[in-house]
Amino acid sequence: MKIKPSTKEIYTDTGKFIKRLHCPIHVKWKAMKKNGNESRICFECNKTIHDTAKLNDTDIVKLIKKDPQACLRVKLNQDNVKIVH
Amino acid sequence: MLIKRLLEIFGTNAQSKTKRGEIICKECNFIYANTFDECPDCKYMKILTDRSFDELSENLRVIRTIRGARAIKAAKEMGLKLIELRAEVSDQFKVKYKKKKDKLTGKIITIGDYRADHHDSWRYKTVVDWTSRNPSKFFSPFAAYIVPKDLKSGERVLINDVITNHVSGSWNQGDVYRLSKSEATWNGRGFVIDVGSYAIGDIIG
Repeated sequence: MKIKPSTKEIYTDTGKFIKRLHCPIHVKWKAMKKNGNESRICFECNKTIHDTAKLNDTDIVKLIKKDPQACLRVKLNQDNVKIVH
Repeated sequence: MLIKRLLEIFGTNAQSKTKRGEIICKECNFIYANTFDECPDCKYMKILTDRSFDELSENLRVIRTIRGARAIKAAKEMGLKLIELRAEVSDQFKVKYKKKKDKLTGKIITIGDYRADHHDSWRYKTVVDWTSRNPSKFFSPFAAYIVPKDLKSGERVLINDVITNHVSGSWNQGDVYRLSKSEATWNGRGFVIDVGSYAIGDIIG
C-alpha cells in the first residue's frame, strides 16, 4: 500500500487509488473499544475501524469494494506502507 | 512563416528563463524557482478572481489563504477582510525525496520512502539523489487569510493552506511534516488551529 501524507490518499502498490482517509470525529485509536486484534469500534459513531497493518492490498481493496465507507487505520511506520509524494 | 513558427517555439521559451534557470512568468514577469509548477504570484491572484468564496468542504466554510505582496495588495484594494501573518521558515521540518528516471519510458518519478528505493539501476537512473526539502519555505514571507465578513466568533472552519507552523507528524525515517491543512476556530481576532484535526502519523478514516 502507498500513502500520500499530504492528502491522506491511499493506493495499492501498483498505484490504483483506494480511498482518501478522513474522519471528522478525530477519535484516537487508543480511545476506541477493542474488537479482536485487527479492528476497533469507535464509541462516537459505532463503526468498525480496520487496522491495515496486517492486511495486504487485495484485502483492503476487497474491504473497500464491499463497503466504500469502511474506516481504516494506517500508521506511517507500519511495514506494509510506502510513502509517496 | 517558418521563422514566425520558430520564434513562437524558441523565442518565448528563451525569454521565459533566467541564466540561473529561474522562470520568468509571461503574465506578470515575476521570477520564480523552477521547482514550482506554475507562477506562485499568479496562483494567488487567481484565488482573488475566483468568485467561489462561499465554498464548503466537509460542512465547514473554507478559508482562503493568499501569499505574496501582490495578492495581498490586490485583496486590500478589493476591500476584503484580511488577517495578515508572516510566513516564517522553520528548520524543524524536512521531507526527504529522490527523483528517478525510468530508462524505458523516460518518466521521472519521485519517491519518499527508503523502502521504495529498490536496487533497480538497470531500469531507473537517479536524477536527484536522496535529499530533503523544507515545506515551510514559501516564495514570499507575506501571507494572509481572507476572512468572510459574516464569520461569527466560535465558528469552525477549514483552512486549506495554514500560514503558521505546526508539526503535523513525524516518521521513523526522519521526516517531519508540516501541517498544511487544518480545521480551526475563529475567535473574533484570529484562527485557533486545531492541529489534531489533520495531524498525521496514525491516520484514521
